[in-house]
Amino acid sequence: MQHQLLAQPAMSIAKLTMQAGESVTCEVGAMIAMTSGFTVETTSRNKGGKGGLAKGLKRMFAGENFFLNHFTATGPNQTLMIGPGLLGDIMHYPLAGGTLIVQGSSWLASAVGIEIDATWQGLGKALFSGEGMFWVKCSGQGDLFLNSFGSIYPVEVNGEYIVDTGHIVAFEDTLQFRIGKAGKSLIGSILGGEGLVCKFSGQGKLYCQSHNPPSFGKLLGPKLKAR
Amino acid sequence: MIEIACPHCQKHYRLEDRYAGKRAKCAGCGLIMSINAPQSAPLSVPSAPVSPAVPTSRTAPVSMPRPAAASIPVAELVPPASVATRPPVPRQPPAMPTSHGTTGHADATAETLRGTTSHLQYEISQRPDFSIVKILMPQGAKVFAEPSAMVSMTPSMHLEAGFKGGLGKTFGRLLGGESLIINTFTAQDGPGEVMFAGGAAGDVAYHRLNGNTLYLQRGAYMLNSEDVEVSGKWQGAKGFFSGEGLVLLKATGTGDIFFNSYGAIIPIDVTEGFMVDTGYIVAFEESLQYRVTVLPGLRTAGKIKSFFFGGEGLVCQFAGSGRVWIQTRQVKSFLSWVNGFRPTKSN
Amino acid sequence: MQTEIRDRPSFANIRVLLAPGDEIIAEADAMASMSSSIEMKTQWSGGFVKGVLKRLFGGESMFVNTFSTATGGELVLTQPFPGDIQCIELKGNTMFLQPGAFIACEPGVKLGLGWAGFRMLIAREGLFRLKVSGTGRIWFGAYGGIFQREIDSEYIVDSGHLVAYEPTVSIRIALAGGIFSSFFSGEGLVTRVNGPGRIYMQSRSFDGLAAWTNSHLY
Repeated sequence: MQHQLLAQPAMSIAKLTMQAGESVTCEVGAMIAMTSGFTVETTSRNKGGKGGLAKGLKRMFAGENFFLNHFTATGPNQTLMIGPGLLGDIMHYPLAGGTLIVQGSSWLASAVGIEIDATWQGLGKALFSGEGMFWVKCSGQGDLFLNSFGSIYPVEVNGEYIVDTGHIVAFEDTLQFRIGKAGKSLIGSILGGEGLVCKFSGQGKLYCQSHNPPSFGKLLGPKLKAR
Repeated sequence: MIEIACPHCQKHYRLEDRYAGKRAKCAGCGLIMSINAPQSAPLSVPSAPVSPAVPTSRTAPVSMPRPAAASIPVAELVPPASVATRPPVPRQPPAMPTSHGTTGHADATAETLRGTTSHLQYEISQRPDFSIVKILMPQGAKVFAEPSAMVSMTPSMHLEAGFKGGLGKTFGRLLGGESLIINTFTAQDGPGEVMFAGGAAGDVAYHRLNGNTLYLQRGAYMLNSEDVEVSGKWQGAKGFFSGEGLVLLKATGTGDIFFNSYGAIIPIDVTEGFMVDTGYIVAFEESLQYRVTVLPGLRTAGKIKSFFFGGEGLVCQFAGSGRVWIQTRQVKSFLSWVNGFRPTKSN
Repeated sequence: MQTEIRDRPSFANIRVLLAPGDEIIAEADAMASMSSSIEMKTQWSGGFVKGVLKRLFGGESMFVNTFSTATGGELVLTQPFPGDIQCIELKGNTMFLQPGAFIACEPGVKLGLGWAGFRMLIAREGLFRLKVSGTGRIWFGAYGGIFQREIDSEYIVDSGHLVAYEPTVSIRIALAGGIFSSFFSGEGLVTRVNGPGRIYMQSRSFDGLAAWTNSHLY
C-alpha cells in the first residue's frame, strides 16, 4: 500500500493506492472518495491481528453506533482517500513490531495486521472519563495513520517532559508516565486552567498536537443553539 | 462640473472638474471622500491603500511568517513549508497522482491567487485554510454575494439586500425552509473594494463560466459577478436529497463565480468511475453524469441508524468526464463533534 | 528568551526557549507542553493587570500563568481555536486588542481593560477592549488568518473581524446599508474605522463560525 498526504498541514487527507488483495480498516465516516473496484465491508469487528475481534472498539466511537469499513482492493492501483472529522494533520507511522499508545480520537486507519486494543487503561480510567478520552494500544506490523487537532510535533523524551493531557497524540510504550499537577499547588493548577498534566520520563518518542478539541468546543458550544 | 453625493450622509455637492481625483471632507458629516471624474473611471485600485503594510520599526512584529510557496510545476510540488523548524514527521512529497481513473492536483499552496477578468479584479489570500477574497471593481459594477459574507469594504460601496432576478428565481432556491437572500454590492461612488469570506475554515476557488454551467453545493456558494445566473435545482429532477443531504445550486452564464469549502479544495478530473461521499462535494461540471447511492458496504450491514447528524453514508457516483471539486472535511462530522458542547434546553 | 511562532496561519503556536531569569506571562490554559525544568505560577490577574482580565467569549478566565526556569527549558503555548498568531513589540506605545485575542506577553507589558463604550457593545465586540502598553512583546491570536492594513481615510469592517488597532484609529458603529438592507443582508452593524493608523484584521470571526454552525443545526 502506498500513501500520499495531501492538503497538509491543517486539512490533511491520506490518499492510499492499493493493489489487489490489500486491505485497510478505518471508521465509516472517514471515507472521502475512491475509484470503483473496492470491496467494502462494514462491520463492528476488526479484521486481522490476533483473535479477529476488536477489543473495546465500542469505546472508540461516541454514541451507540460504531462501525468500521474494511476496504479491499480488487485490482491494481485503486485509490482511496480518507480523512478525519476535525481540522488538523495526519501522520503515517510504520509499526514494526513495537507498540504505540494512541489517544482514542487520534486513530484514523490501520492496515490489517495491526492489533488495536481500546481497553488499555494504563493512564487511569477515572481521570479521563469526564473528557471522553481513552487510549488505544496499537501493536503489530504495518501502516498506521494517526490524526491530530492542530499540527503534530514530536518530542524525543530523554529525562522528563510535561504535556497537557489533551495535547497527546501518541507515545511509544517504552516511556514511563504519571499524572500530576502542572503548577506547585493543586488549586493553582486547576484555576490556572491547566488542570492535570501527564509527566513523561525515560526514553522514547512522544507525539504532541498544538491544539486540543475540548478547549475549542467549550468556547464555541455556548454560542450555539441549544439541543 | 462634477456632481457627487457624500456616501455617508448623501449631502449633494457640485464641484468644478479640477477637483477630480482629490479627496475632500464632507461639510455635513465630516467623512473624507474621493471626488471622481465625471465619466466612469477605468478599473483601478480605489484610494484606500489595499496592500498590507510593511511593518514599521515602531511596532515590529517578531513572528516568522510562513514563506509563500513559489510557483512550481505541478509534477514537482512539495508540501508548503511552514516555519523553518518543521518537526521531522515522515512525509511523502505529493507527486502527480497516477491512480486508476482519475487525475488530480496535489496540495493547495499558500500562494496568493490574483486575477483580472472582464468584470473585476480579485485576490485570494490567507490560503489555503482561512482564505479570503478581495474584489476590486470599477464604478458602477456590481457583485452578488451570500449574506454575512462581507468582511470589509471601502465607503464607495453600497450594500443592498434583496432578491436577485425577481421573486420567481428566489423561490427556486427555497428548499427545506431556507430562504436565500442575495446581497448586491455596487461600487456606487467610485471604484470600490470589498473583501468576502465564509464562516468556517477553508479555501476559496475562482471559476470562470463561458456560457457553460457549474453545479455547486449550497453551502459552497459565495459570490458571483454580473452576467451569471445562480438558481436552485429541484431535488426531484436528479434524486439528490434536500435537508441534510446535498442541496445543489446551478450557476450559468459568462462571468465569474467564487465558491468556498470547509477544508481544503482538491480539484479532480474524472475520466472513469469515481465515487465521492456527498458531504465532501463542493462543485462539479455539468458534463459529468452522477448518481446518488448508499455506500456499498452499508447495504450488507443491515439497518443502520445515522452515524452523523443526519448523514446516511450517501455517496455520489460520477461517470463520464469532467471536473469535480472535493473538500477535505465535511460539515456533518463537525456538527457531530460539536453537538456534545451545545447547551441543553433544560438549562 | 527565544520565541518562534510556528504553523501559521492555520494552527499557530508559540515555541519559547526560556533561559534562567527569563519570564513569560500567558493566558490560563495556553500551555500545551513544556520541559519539566519550567516552573508555572498562577496569579490572579487582578493583581497583575489594571482592572480585571476577562475572556469574553464564554466563561471567565481570571488567571494568568507566569513561566520561569532555574536551569533553562522549552515551552509550547497555544490558543483554544485554530488560527493565526502575531507578535508586536511595544516600545512605550499603546495598542488596543480584542480581549479574547491575548495569549502571552513579556513582564514589561502593561495590560489594562478599557471601556470601549456602548458603541462597541452593539457591535458585538463586547464592552471591553484590552489596552496594552509598556515595553516588551505581546502575542495575540485570532480564529482565521491575521493581516494588517494601513488606513488613512474611512474604511468599513464587519464586527468580529477587527483584532487590534492603533490608538490613532477612530471607531464608529454604523449600519451596513439602509435599515432594510442592514437587517436582511445579514451584515447588520459594521464598524467604520478612520485613520491614520494601522488595523489588524482576521479573515474569519468566531461569531461568524457560531452563526455558520447554527445555520446547519435545528
